[in-house]
Amino acid sequence: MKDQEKKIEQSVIFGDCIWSQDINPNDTDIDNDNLIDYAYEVYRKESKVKKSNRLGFQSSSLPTPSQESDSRLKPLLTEVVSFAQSICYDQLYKNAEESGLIFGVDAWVNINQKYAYNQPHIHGGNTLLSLVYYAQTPENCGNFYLTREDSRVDLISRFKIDDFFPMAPQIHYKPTAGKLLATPGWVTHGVEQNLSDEDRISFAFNINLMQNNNNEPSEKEEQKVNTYAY
Amino acid sequence: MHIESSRKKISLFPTILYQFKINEYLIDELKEIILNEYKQWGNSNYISVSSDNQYKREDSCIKEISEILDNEILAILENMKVMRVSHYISGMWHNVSKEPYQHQQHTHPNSFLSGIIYINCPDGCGETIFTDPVSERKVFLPDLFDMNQENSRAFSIKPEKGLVTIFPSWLNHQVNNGTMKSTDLRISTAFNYNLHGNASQLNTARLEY
Repeated sequence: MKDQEKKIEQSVIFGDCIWSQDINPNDTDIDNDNLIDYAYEVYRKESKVKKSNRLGFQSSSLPTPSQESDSRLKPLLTEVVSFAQSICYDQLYKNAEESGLIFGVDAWVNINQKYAYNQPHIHGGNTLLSLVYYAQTPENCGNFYLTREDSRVDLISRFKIDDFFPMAPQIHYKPTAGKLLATPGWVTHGVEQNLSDEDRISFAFNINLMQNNNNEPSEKEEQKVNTYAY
Repeated sequence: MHIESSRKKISLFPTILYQFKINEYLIDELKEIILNEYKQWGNSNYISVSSDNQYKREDSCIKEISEILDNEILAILENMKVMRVSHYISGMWHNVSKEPYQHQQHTHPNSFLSGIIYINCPDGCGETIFTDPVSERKVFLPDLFDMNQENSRAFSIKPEKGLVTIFPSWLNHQVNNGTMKSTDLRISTAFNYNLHGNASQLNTARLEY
């Protein structure tokens, strides 16, 4: 049999995705130094919430509508919305605009000091996409990891599978300053302990899809998640 | 509206943990062995170290503890009505950690039952947290006004000297950081059990022949 006749074809079924984009400072107004300043200002002034964060700081929701958000955050918000719209409109919901689907965005700051980490969790509610932008990522500050839910992966996890093979039980991403990542909100993820002496700083976003006008969130829901439509 | 019978509640597909305590003198002997050896297990600058496999050791207390575990596992397997030719301990190792160590969520692949023996548990040491194996529940997670064993998605065990907790190896668990003093050591011993048998006699997907 000739080699070409033996070719095995492989198709991934029922996969989840991770989307990423490197932000080029020359192409946008995003300034990491400004974002780090803003993160520490939020840390000093705003209340901390306890969600998946252990030993680290997670802010409550930041003001996200363009007209009210901090000028240091605004360029990043614009990029995040554009990134999420590209994923949704180009790939997931090609008829989103005709269907009247609109975006809600919720944003917060994470500062993980030495030994801080985030427990595995999902982003619940109607979160379609969870995004993270890395502003400061010293060496050994803790990888971002995603975990499969299927319990049968135990069967394969004893054996070494390439980290990025679609059947891998867990995937680890080394965070890099200037990178934007997005995953579906239902994928379980966490952050390893920060073993660096410096802080790991990231901005996180939830993208919620809503139906324009007909199914707007109630006032109560809007206050709870600080969600605004774009 | 007339109800003809009293309300019934049926628990389906439960996840069961088994607990018992080992005599303190055995735990103290094991603790002494661990304290004499743990500095050789890895990087002493790191806040947690683990031993390699220990179950074949000849130390009398490890042998005695292994026999206790064998008997308890036998009783559990009988209670579960698991068909098998035999069961055997496939791994046993010790963990020593300082604050603020966190042991990430994990399972014990290629085992049937696993367990933890708490050896040294200073005040404020991290609890073992088991998490809900039913991923379908994440479809809808309402806020709860009161949490209990039936509606929680996580269950914590406070370490207690000599306490043994046995659980299905597939059950996700982790240890979060605690509030121990910086000089305190949290010490535990973990173990795995597996089954010998014929595939035609067993329902499990994980077998060794």
